[in-house]
Amino acid sequence: MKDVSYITRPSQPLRGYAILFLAFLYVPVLFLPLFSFNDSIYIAFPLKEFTTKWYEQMFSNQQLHVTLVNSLRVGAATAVFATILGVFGAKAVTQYRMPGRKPMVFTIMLPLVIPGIIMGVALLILVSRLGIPLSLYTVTLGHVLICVPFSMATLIARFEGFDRSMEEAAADLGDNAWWTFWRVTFPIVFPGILASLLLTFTVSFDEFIMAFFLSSTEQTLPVYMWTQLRFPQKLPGVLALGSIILVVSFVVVFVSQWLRGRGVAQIPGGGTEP
Amino acid sequence: MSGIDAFISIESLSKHFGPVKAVDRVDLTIGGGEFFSLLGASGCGKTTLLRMLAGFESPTAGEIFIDNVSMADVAPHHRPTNMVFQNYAIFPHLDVRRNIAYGLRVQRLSRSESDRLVDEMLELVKLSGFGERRSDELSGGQRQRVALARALIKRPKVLLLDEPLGALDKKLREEMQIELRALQQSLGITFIFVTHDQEEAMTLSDRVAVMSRGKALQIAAPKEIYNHPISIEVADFIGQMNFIDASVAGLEDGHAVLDTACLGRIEAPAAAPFVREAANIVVAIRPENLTLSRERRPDDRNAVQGVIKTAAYLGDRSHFYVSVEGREKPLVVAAQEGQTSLGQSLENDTPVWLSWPDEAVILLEAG
Repeated sequence: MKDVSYITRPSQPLRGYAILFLAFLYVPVLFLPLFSFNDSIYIAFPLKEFTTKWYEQMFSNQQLHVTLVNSLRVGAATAVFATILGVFGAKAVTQYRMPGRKPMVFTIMLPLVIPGIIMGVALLILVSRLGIPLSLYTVTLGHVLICVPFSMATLIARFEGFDRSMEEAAADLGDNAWWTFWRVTFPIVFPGILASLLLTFTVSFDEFIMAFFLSSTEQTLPVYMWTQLRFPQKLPGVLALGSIILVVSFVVVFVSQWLRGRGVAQIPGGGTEP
Repeated sequence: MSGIDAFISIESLSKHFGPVKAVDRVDLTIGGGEFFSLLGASGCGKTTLLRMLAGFESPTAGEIFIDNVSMADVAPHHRPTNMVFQNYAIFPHLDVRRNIAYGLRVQRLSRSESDRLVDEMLELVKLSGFGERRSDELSGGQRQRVALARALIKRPKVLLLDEPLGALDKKLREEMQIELRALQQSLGITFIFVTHDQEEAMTLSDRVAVMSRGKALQIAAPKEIYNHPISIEVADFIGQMNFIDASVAGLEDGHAVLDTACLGRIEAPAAAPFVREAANIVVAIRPENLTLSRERRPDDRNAVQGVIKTAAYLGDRSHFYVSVEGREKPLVVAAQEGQTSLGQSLENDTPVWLSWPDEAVILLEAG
């Protein structure tokens, strides 16, 4: 490897570090699928026979189906609302000169680091004070709140690469603000919007604390899973479900990140001269 | 300038960004069908002025009239102007055809009608056959043509061009200059062209406004600006110039007698009011108006002796840096290749004579 520079030259210690790092992140998670195929209700080594009965059990569980649909509905609604708010927010903070821009972004991003339990309790108090009954709507409300930062982060990256003169060109060619948005802004940031939808859906789908505080009898999937953990014989079934969620989440987030990256590469001005 | 019917008139136009006066009380009139350039270094306000014409910036003070209509309350999408952006702003999600047809939406044309117009435009900018390409499959020059076609299909009264050739290499730029000029003449549209390249402005324009710090310093035809700059700043910005401090020794009907440290007593045509008896002024002489010779030529009225310090060979001409007594900085002399018998045989430290005609001496107010 003579043609690698000082910076790009491979380094053995760093490679080792990278492997260790990835192992730390993912080995614990990999126990889920491992034990979900293990023919024993106890999660312990040594492994027993290979089985798919936990998956069969899971698929025949009516309650699980109901909560899955609940989660899908909450996730979809959350994704749409959070992304709409994210689009306008990201457009505003990246494209307009305005006072208090930085504090505003900071405030919007804050839910990312506020502990979920605090947000959950706060919202629960607010909702009950206002006399709003707990339902999947209140869960969605809570999820929108925590998903907007994710949507903003994804879309700000997209809008920052967005050339303002594109919109000016559209206006110059006779389009008002409405047409400019739909004919130029929207198509150009579309990969970012898609990425945001997928990401916020995943965040909502996997979220437990807010859903736990803000739901009533209608449970979301993670809340249902949690209630099942009280029964030891149900545990492997939860592992099976967890494994599936893990795989689906991974695929969705991967696709959303790929979309985001693809979008950036397509931003005008980055073209090559033949 | 008299004789120009004001198609666009800009009246005491200012734009402030906080404490910065990007454009500072500019007055301009531009005639219909004129090729007008705004020339200046970056940050001089030329682009801001153009963006106010397009409607992207609103003036802090002053007004713009296009075809006798005030643009104060007219949104960009309703203005009779179209713009070619510096980075072209080709829509990346549309192919060339759709980019060019973009502005036709408001006209609600039939499919075949709009196809015909796009074909016409493709032909006009020599891009026939490129209609299905995406913007990232185009070269810089081709993008520039798409941007031009996209703006021209709207049949604007005024085409605004923001450094459209800045990103192209020198050879392509020169080709595009010729094409742009031909296009403007055949279409008869008013072009307002922003550039920092003085050669480009000189080549293309009917008239040029030289801008600096938000002000229009001089507005005139290229030749006028080159031969009769009105200030040291303009003279310095356009081409090369030798500046020499002088004091006025005498005045007689349109002629001034001046004392200089390095050229001695010289004469020059003078009409400006600042040329008063005993005033300190600046004398400017273009490098190509100084003639080099080995011996003093008998018919030269004005001549001074000097020594060649350095020579720069530029292909079609050479620049000689000649130091003369009474002056620290050497004078620059441009000699066309072949026009001087001295040629390149002039080595450093060769003693030479410099001569110039009276008309070549430009008088400027001291800064």
